[in-house]
Amino acid sequence: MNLLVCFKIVPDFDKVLPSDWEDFSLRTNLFYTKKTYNVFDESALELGLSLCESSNRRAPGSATCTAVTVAQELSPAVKKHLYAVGFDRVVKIESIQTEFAPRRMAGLLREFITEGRFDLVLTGVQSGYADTGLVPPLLASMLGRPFVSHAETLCFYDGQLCVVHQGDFGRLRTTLELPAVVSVGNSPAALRAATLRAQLMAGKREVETVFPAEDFFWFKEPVFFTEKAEKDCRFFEEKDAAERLFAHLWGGGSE
Amino acid sequence: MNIALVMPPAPDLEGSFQFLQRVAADAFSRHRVSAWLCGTGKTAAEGLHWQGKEGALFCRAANVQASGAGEYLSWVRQMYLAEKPDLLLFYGNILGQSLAAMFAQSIGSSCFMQATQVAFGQVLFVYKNACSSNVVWGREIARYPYVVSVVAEKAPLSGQKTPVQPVARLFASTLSAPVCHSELLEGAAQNPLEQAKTVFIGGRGLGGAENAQKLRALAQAFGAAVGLSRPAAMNGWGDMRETVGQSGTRIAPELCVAFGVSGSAAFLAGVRRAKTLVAVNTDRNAPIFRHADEGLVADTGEVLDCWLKKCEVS
Repeated sequence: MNLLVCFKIVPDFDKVLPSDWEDFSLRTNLFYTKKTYNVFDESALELGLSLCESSNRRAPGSATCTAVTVAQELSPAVKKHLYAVGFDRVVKIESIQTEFAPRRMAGLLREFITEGRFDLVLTGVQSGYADTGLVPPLLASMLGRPFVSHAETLCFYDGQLCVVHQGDFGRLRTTLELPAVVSVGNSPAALRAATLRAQLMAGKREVETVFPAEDFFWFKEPVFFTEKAEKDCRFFEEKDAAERLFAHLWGGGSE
Repeated sequence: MNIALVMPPAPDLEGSFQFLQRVAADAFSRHRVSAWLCGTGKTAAEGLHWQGKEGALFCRAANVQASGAGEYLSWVRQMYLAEKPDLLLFYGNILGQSLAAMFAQSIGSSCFMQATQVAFGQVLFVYKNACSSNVVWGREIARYPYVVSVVAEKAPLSGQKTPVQPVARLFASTLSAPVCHSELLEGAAQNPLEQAKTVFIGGRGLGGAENAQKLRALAQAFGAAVGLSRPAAMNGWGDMRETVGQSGTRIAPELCVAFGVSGSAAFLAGVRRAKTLVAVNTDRNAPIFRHADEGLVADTGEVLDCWLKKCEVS
């Protein structure tokens, strides 16, 4: 089984200076913020790795796990981490403009997936900047594969993929044949840390870079607004503030 | 312009119709609006209690139940071929989002997902939160047909719901053959966070599972629902389904008390409709205080102890 996990490295948007949001555009340089795995992708990476390991425990060498991102660059720290935790391949599809262009992103991934013959594709359910959640279902549609969204856990059972996921009517267990596309939602899985030894060994390995056949497309610059929704908070700061706030909210006191 | 409001099956019809009211109230005066419901005949009948212009709603229901977006695709395609709307607005629950994307791909149309607002002016604009809800992204829709999924957000209905004369026709649709087998493990019930009048939310500042338990005890004493920020849920202090915010439930209670929540924009997107937001945090500069009505700068554990004691006394 060839397993592919699509991931994205995003800025920690909570650390962006408020002034940068005021006239935010795609040219705003967020170099000073920490870059991190998109939260849903991080869970997808861990679930993919665990699934691959369990397959290999049952039948050694039966599964490979590849991590792929579409980006202009990928930091050496991320590359080292992904190799160190056990990914067989770390691939970067090099492209200059991928934000706010989900169809293009899905198209680039489709090309790579088709050529690589991946049986199972895992993604996060959505990712910044745009947070559209459009790439996973688009990708499934483009590939013509079954699609399950908001996965929490994954396992193989009787040769089929078994996905526990959130649906509108509750938590479901869906079994499906591969190939398939699964997007990971609010899963408790967090990507494991790498040992120092594994990181040292991984340092020598290189990211595989793929250049799309045609890397030009028409792109309309997105327009952004900020919402001023701040309130004038009334602080309770006296010595017995907790009691006074309780009385203010639910009565039974002097407030 | 012909607009179709596409409502895939949902356990709570109320949410779907609030979506209709929120999105379409503006559109009714200028455009021909039809609603496509997918569910049982009963669903269609219930769906006709709609505050709107009499006769403006053409309600059709497919007598079907399935679990995957792929299976509903043929239903939407059949409806589309029969009606040829210019704009399709999908109720953005889990199924609706996937369905919107797949349908757009199938007809070669563009798609805008998780819109928080659709503005029907001289030109059509759609808006959504971006960059973890720190900015709003606006896009003008110039080419049709166009597909938009609207974020599933509970908002209390304003005014009375006026039943309108039913103009429903049962549309005997078929679904695609299922490509996978699904079974319901648990749930189906209403998410208590969506309808609760009072919600207590715990964040990373709770400090540990012990305080999370105290939060639950306090919520029980008040008959309140419990929510968690994403970091708190990732710490295992509750179920991931209790997550409030952009990646979880968006709530609209009368009173929301946030304990130890710093107030990231992604979290605030989930509580912005709360009538009163109260924040308890040790850091006076935490962003949540800029969005709270009442603030208490204190240790969350001490406040929980104090309030639990007061509940016992009373």
